[in-house]
Amino acid sequence: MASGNLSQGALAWSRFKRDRVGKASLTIALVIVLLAAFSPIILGILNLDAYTFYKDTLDPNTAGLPKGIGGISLTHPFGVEPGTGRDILARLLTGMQLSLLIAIVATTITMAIGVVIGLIAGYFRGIVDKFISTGIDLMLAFPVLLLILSLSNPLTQRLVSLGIPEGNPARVTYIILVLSFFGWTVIARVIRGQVISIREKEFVEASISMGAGPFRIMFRQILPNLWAPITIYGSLTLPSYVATEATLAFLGVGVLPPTPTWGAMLADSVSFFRVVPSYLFFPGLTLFAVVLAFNLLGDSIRDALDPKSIR
Amino acid sequence: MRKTAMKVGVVLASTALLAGCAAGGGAGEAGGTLYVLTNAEQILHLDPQRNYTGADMAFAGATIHRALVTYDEKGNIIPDLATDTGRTSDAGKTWEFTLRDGITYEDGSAIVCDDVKYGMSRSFATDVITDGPAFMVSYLDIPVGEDGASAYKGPYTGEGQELYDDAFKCTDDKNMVIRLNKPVIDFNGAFTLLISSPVPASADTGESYDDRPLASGPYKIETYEKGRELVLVRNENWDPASDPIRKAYPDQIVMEFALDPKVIDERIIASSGPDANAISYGIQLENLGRVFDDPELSKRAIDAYDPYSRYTAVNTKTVPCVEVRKALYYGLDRDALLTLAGGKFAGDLGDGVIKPNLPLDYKKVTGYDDLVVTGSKELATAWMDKAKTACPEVYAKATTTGLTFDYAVSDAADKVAGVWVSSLEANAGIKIVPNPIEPGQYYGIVLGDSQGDLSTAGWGPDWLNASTVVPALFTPDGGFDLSHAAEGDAEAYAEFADIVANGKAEVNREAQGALWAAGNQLAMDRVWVVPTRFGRSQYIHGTGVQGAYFWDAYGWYNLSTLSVK
Amino acid sequence: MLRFITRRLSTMVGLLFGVSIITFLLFSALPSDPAALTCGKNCTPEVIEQNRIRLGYDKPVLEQYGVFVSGIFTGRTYGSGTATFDCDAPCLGYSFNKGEEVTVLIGRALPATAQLAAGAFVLWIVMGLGIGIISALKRGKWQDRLGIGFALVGTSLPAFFTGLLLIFTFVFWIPIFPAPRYVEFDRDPLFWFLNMLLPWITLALLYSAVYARLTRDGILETMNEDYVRTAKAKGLSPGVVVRKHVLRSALTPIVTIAGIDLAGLLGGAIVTEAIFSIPGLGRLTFSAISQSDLPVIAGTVILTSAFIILANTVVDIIYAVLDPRVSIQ
Repeated sequence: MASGNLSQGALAWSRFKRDRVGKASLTIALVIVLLAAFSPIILGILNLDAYTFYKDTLDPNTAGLPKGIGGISLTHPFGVEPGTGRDILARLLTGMQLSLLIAIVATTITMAIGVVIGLIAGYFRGIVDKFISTGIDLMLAFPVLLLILSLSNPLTQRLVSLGIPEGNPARVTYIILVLSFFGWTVIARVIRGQVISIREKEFVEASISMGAGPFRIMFRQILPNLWAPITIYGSLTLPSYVATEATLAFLGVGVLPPTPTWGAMLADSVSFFRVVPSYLFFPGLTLFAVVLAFNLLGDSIRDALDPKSIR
Repeated sequence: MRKTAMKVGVVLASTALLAGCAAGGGAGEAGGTLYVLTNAEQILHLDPQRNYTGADMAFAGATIHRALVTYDEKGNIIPDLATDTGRTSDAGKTWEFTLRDGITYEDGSAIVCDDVKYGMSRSFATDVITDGPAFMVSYLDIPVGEDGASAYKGPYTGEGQELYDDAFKCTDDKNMVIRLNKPVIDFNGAFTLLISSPVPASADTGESYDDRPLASGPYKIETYEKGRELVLVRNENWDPASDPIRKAYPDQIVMEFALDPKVIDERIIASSGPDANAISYGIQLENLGRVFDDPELSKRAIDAYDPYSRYTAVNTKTVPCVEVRKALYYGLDRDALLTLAGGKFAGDLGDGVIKPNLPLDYKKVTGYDDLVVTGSKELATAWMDKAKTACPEVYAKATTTGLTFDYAVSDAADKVAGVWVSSLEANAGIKIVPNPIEPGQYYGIVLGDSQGDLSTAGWGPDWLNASTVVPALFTPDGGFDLSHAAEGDAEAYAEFADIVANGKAEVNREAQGALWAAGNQLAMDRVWVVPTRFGRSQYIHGTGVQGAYFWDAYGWYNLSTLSVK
Repeated sequence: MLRFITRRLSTMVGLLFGVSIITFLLFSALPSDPAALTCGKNCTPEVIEQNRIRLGYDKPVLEQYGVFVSGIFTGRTYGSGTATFDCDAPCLGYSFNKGEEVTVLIGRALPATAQLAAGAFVLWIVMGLGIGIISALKRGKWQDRLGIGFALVGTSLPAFFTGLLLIFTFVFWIPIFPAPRYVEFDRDPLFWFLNMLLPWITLALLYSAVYARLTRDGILETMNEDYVRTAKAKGLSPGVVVRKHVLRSALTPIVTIAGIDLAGLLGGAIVTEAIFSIPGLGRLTFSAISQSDLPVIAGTVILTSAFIILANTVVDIIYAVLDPRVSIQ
């Protein structure tokens, strides 16, 4: 098995290397993740901070608007936030870090739940599968955004009572939990389908006849064959969570001020569309770039892994 | 309400009035539809006895409700349903009013003394008629029961009815005598509030009267869908001859709810189609420069000193440590708050809860000459060092778990919370935990059990006397006590209670003013609130709106004299 | 066939039951006291207790659920003694914050949401299928890249951002459209149309990407099937092949998602309705959430889920009728 995987992986990689869009989006995605990961160091070098009011960047003869074009200068390359003078680059990087953290953790949990449940349903089939499939049908019937919004207050409080610190830790945990809780169904369905066909393969039958336990077969033998759909769906889930997190922040379910997030920055910046366009431009562009890059990357990975697909 | 302020206020300052007069103009023309655009889901209260928000009182008082007396554009009390502004022969202990002829409700029935009496009695039913002013309950000559509440429980239970009938007498259909428990020489100011608006007992639907009150003014409610729109149409049974105040030019008034504030501004600025006849409740920060720097737009904009003092109340029950409160006072970056409130449009730094628009009561608060407007690390840290030994528990709470900061959520308010968090962290080492609350529920929550350690608020006087400010904000039964000093700072409060008692009893207005100033000073010395801003408000109306001015008494437009094209 | 339909319908009833009971449990398990939310600010303990009994919050959750379900079919009466009022069937509960029955509130909000959903649906199907078909026919050419790129852009931006950008660009900057203010269709059809166009576009941008992708993939997949190859070999033009042979089977998965997406939208588009001030279900629910108005929230959650389940069932049955092979499994 292992050698088969390797050659398949090498094949996929060679296909991926020929995909210019794939390479470009991988580069952008990597750059953004690295920027976010090292944002404290970068901001340290630039001597900027997401929470400092750079008041000298604001024009006292206005209603707190930045001087010049959005307050852009050598010290503040992306300009400053109107009303406060906080540095947009610093807030963007800090916000990116949190948003990506939320998206990555939530994606990981989503994939884990989806894969395990999909494996179980596909492997045992019969009544177990029926039960899980009905459960998935039920989950899919709920209006997700509405539930996330309405459960936010009570469940955040419940998390606090479970010992998670009040404020941002509880809020971030809530967002990660609900995103994962409502997100796993699609993955589970895909994995289930794959497992059903893999289970028919000879090597699985052989293991069963040799008396291997079901969980050993599931995780040792079937799981290694699932990395293609897992990678593809993982790379597509991540950007959708970034966008959802922004939407939640816009609707008021997000981290507390003054901690910056993409969603809150965008929601606020749209008001300044005409007076301080740079405020809208940079957060908007980066959010767009991240979501687009990860989506394209997901496509390219699929093409590379599954050459039969029709792209 | 959107400006976090909750009450009526009066401004004498002539500068603001000049802006109003300039925006005014000749007599308006009747007809057309006036649009009121708002972000709110509903009007907090249309029930006259429950309406206690400046702008809502301005709206309802100029359109559907009439009161015994009201304010003119200069802030003078003038007769409305009554024939004069109230008569007293014993320095304000007994008040007499006579109703005009020809006053009717929308159903054509006549407004009689019993209706005014019944309306006012509803204030006593504090379980149903919530949120309204408590002046009748605290000043009418009705004994207090064992529980400290009035022995009269309102018309629904009827308990203690004879006590009320004794304090409020209708001598006939037109004449009334109202007796107070102490002389209050300017008490007729209380009757400008809509608590003096008549409600016939037969029309009272209790809690749901809020949704469909009976109109006594020139307009009546045609439809009211919360979250969508309120439509007022002409009340054909309103006799203009009986009402010298309300010109009632528009044929129809439509309030559109739940609009995005950004969209409201843009609609009025663009002023196309029906939006030419639109007004709203303020201008978003980002548009202030755009509006006032533009020669054309600024012609239909208003920039007025408003009646409110903005502050953040400190819950002394949960922060029982004056040293930590002083550290808050000195550590806060007020300069950043002013910038956020609109820079040059923000108004002035506040030094207390009494605004200079109460000239007889305002006295500059002393003892804070060392205040640094951007926040002082040195002074704040010094106070925190003192707190470490004086009240180690509060010190530990402030520096570890943090103090919760209640505010009504909005993009701008989020930034204000950011100023509190960042500047107090940097200057005092105090951790602030923001607690954003849905605006419509804000006061309900902070006045209830879920109040945090710090609560943003705003307050303006009900009439030109700080008797409607100082006791209201700091005495437990004042109605707006967010500081709870009676419990949290009892020693200082004992002294304060004496000042309030003397102030209420003092009949010499100047001596009374000095007492209110002393109460304000004491509250600031003990930092029961952290004052932030004596603010200004800005408005813009559509190109078709005529005769618009800032009604200082209520802090909004006066719809009585406003007309549309 | 009849057996299939019966089985499908019984599954539907089961799912409806499951959804309603989960929703009910979810909202009764919340730590906040539902009775305390019914009387506004100056709630006294007595009033809270009184409302708790009036609303039945004092009873066990399962009993409350029973009353709720029977209320849907037979109506229910709130309170006891003199202070009662009836909530006629189908009763989804009573909102004390708004002072109205939940069904009345929903009934008032539903038309606006339905108009929003229907218009957006038409637009995104047209856009999605159009882009998908062109991309498939011009596979690998610039039209394909442009189409798929456009779809990706649309889906990459959150609705609140595209919506606000559309307003600020096409209403206030370059005033092509009127400022958003909801007007009923019968009051002014032209204004209604102009006003709904931007929200339709906002939603369509969000959804059409998925449809474009599915259409394209579906077409390309069926193109490789034998019968299509035969048709092509017969010398039929690509357009005719696609129209006659490919579309029908390529569109099958799309019908399924379309049904569910449309049903989901009928439950309200919270973000779009908020931005464009459309007084629909989304805004009703959002305001209910901010006021902790549990009966309204629970009512809309159950209604939306019911729409989705119903759409799913209808789509399944239609399949079975059209394609007898389905019922075999």
